[in-house]
Amino acid sequence: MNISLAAEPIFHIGGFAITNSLFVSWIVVLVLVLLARALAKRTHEIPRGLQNVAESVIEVMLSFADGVTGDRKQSIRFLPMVGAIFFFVLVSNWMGLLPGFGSIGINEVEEGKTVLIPFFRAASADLNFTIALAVISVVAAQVYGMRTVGTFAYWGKFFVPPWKSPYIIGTFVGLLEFISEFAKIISFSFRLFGNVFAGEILLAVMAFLAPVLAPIPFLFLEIFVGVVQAMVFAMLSLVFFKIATETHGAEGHEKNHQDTHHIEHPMAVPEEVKI
Amino acid sequence: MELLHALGIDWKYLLGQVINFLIVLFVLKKYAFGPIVDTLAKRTAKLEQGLQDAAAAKSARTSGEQEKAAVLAAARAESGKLMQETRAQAEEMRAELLTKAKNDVEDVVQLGKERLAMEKEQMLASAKGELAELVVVAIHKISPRVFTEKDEAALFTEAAAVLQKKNHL
Repeated sequence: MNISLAAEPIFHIGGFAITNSLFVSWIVVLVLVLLARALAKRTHEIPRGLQNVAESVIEVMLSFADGVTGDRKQSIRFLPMVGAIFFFVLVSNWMGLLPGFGSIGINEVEEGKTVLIPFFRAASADLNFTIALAVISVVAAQVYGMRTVGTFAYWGKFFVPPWKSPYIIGTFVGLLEFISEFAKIISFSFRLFGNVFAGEILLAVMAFLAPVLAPIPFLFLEIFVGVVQAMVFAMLSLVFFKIATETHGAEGHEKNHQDTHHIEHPMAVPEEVKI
Repeated sequence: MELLHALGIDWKYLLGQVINFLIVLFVLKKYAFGPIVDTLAKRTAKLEQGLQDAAAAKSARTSGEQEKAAVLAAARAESGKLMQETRAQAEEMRAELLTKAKNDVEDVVQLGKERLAMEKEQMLASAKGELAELVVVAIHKISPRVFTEKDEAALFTEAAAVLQKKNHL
């Protein structure tokens, strides 16, 4: 049995090695595009078939998002990004459970040992995939934040001059927040990679030990893990978007408009109560 | 670098995955999330509109019914009033007619009475005149033997006076 942390190249296009997980990622994209096209072709006032399913799924996603944002408008704004992350991760996770993934390939001799290079590897069992998504999620949060509160005000959250209100503490907290933005990338990517990769290994080991019935409960477990990880990735992204777009109205007004602060403050209270 | 290599992290693959995701994002946004959110919003708006319309129709119906009832009640009251007025008028007219008729009858009776009285008087007067003449003739026939011409004249005047007196009575 051979376990490789990195995705293995399976063929080359013009000198560029295509790894098995990049290849599967393309299949995932194709599946999603075909699904979306099929859906777009049949949009009716009165839903039927696929549209019904898609509508109820989106309704559920929106009400989930409402729980985080507390605002349907904002939920709709974040839906494409969060939904795309969810479905991309979900389909990638589940595709890795299909028979043949990790088991069909070619034997190659590496350092005197014969190793199996599988043709298919779950896209999310490759750090390139998970880091890419994590970077997109974090960058999207910054973009949403800058668009909502303004570029200057947004970055002011991270870089607090030491001569302002909480003084050195504020500066330090701002720096910590800035570092935590990068930490998010690491936690996002390694969480997903670890779960999916571990699941693959678990299934491979089970199949190796008792190939007949033993892997089945673990398959179900992995189906569940696939949904949970997709949901965790999407929900955390949503939470970060929400945090990034939050206007710290009271803080800003304290500094800039001392007199309007009292008028603005009662407005800020229900906002905080909602969350 | 060694660690990144061991983990299989390569910026080319990373970029490839980013592009993959952007394709998914674009396609899902254009063909799935956008249209479906639109459809849902449109349907919600339509349902709300329908409900509003239904409520408006209901209220219109109730108000129509109320109006109808009000109009009916007003008409009923009006007709009742009219009836009463007509009845009162008729009553008044009848009373008027009756009194007028009574008056007329009384007038006619009065007239008849007056005429009768007048005729009677006339008859009486003419009868008295005839009677006086008869008396005079009778006296004239008897008188040459009993009365002198002087007596006769005195008798005449006396009789005339008596008659006159009686007539006055």
